[in-house]
Amino acid sequence: MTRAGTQPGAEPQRGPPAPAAPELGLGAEQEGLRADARALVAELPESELLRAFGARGWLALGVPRAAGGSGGGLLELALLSLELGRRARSLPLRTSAIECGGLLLELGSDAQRRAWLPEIWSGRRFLCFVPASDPVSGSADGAGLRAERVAAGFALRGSASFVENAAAASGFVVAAAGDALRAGAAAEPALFLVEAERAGLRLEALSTLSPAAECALHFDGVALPESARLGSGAAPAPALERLRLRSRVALCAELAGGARAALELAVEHVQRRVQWERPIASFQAVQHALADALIDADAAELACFEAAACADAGLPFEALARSASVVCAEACLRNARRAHQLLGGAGYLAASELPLHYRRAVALAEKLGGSERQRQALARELGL
Amino acid sequence: MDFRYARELEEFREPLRAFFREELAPERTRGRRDPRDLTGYDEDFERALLRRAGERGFLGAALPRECGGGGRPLAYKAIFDFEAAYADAPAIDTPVTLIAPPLLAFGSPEQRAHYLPRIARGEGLACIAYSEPDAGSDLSRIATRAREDAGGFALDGVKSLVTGAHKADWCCLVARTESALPARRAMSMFLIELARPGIRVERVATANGWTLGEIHFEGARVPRSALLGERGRGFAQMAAALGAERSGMFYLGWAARSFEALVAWCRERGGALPRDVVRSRIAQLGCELEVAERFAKRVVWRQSRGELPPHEAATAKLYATELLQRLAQAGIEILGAEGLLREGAPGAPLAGHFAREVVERVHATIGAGTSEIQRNAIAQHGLGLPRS
Repeated sequence: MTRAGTQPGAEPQRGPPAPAAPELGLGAEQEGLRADARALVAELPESELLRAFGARGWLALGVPRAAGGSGGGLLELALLSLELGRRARSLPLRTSAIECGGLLLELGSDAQRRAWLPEIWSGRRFLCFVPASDPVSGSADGAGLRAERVAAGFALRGSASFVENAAAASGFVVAAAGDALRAGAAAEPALFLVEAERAGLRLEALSTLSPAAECALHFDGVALPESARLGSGAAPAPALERLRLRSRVALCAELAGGARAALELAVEHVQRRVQWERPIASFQAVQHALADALIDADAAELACFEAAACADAGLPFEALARSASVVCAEACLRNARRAHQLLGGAGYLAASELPLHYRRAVALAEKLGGSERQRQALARELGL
Repeated sequence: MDFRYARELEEFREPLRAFFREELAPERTRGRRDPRDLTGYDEDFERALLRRAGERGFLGAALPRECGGGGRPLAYKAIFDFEAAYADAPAIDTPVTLIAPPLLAFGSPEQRAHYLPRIARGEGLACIAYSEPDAGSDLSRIATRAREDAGGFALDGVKSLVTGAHKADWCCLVARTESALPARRAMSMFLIELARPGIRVERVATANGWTLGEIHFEGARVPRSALLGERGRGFAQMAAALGAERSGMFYLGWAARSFEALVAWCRERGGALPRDVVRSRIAQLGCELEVAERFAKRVVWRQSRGELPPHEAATAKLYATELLQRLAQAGIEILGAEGLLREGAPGAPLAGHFAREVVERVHATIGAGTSEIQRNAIAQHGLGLPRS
């Protein structure tokens, strides 16, 4: 697990000869992107952010310029996600730009790409990704959704829960169990592009802790034409896995942003709050809690950066994405709790920004699949 | 952004790792273990190993060429430190680590010319004597005095908790030269030969069986040329020297060694362990080891740019040393009762590694700046909070 540091024979560096030490700094363009994102996210209401991101080309980051994108990589997307997390904003950046956009780019037909990529990249409209497994029905084979072949194409049945931002989405890329579709590939999901207004699709708003409005989607025999299928020629699993992994790193970055936000709120508060005639920031008990919070915030950010930089260098990054999940989820939760403790009663009032960060930390950590599940997977990789 | 070490560093690492493997092969170390020494090896063994590391150019790789070093970037020292600790070699508290930084920063041309080539060749052992019975985290309480007289200085006082004092040739210390001034202007740094009249070293047993040194100065006379840096600037020089050694690479090497040993042991035991709990514990420690590694790399990266924010150095030290304690405790719990068997005891798993670790790592969060001092530094330098 200490792959880069303890094992000789790492991959050679690309490009011009690099300095001997690792390079942990952001490039000037990346710094600029981060600063711009920070300013924009602070300035605009959430409802206007997606279009503003689109107008700057940020929703097409991680897509090569030759493919019509804005260039850059996962690191750039992680920087945006950090800033969104810092302000607890719930943009469909992951689900629409990374997952649906990525799937369309890799597997979509020309017509599907022409219809949707400009919409996604501009932020005019967005899509949500709906995975095959439903955490509520918990069907063992991960088949919350099933696709059947019918005369005119396909019919989708089943439910999917906890789809973020679904109410405002223009459509969905749905992964459905496809055993009826491909002989000999039982576990392979098939992907479909489903417009929001399709007959038989019903959205049910869920009341959850997540600040990103979540819905359950019910597919009651939604009829789809042949042309709604994504990637009929290729097995979608590898692309799906890779994009979900990229999306996971972006989600980690949102949590890292949350960890930073909680720290910043606490630092600001303890410097202002006076008790016993001195700012409580001068108490060592307070300082030590905040020192630990800074360590957690930095640990989370560096974990995201390493996973993203590794992905951008074309190296395997699955294990790094998993360990980043553990590090970021725990850092964000711990820092939100530390900040609650330090902000005292005032921080528990709904008027404070902090409860939003805390609820978000709880919800997003769960979205990452829970730290325990990640640890078990990491242990498997260690041969345990 | 690239978290990897450049190829040239990995090319430095490979022969270095092979070197330690060879030097510490069972047939070479048989009969050379010494539980009374922190390194675990006897003094002759340590001296011989350092000389060979010097001959091979490993030891002084990052020292300037004009001082007999390899003239490579500081990152080479980081790799050396990691590998030395990873091999648990007696090459941690070397003169390169202990006295080269203050020599390079404050030494006179004569001092540099005298010591640095010897250090690079692996000749001699050194120790650092800052702490005193009544001066620990608060080094302004240092009471050892250096009175100037015709030929140089006369030292009186006691330095305590000195690693390797019993075998050291050279000692870097801080003593009061000015009696009337506040501590920050009253101290001076010295680099002295320990084999002098008026200097007595006592060995004091530690909790883990090896010894620390107590150095008694009783009118010990040292020449004027032993003054290192500027008279009256010892306090600031000491702070700088302490800061120079905080990449935490040693800690990381030890942590990687413990982690890998534990993983290997668990793999062998397989089904005999309460699987999910153990798996989860180890995976968590693996994540934390990566975090420690990133913090250490951040320091190496900063150093490569000639900068080092104090709170980032403090973070690397603090995180890695606390992780070492968690690793040791996990090892003891997972190995069970047998894990308490010490080196040499029949049936001791992993040659008693964790029985040693669990006591050894207690001092990691105390020496070279306690965890409390590190947290103060992080809060004050990293977050701009006021001095408490």
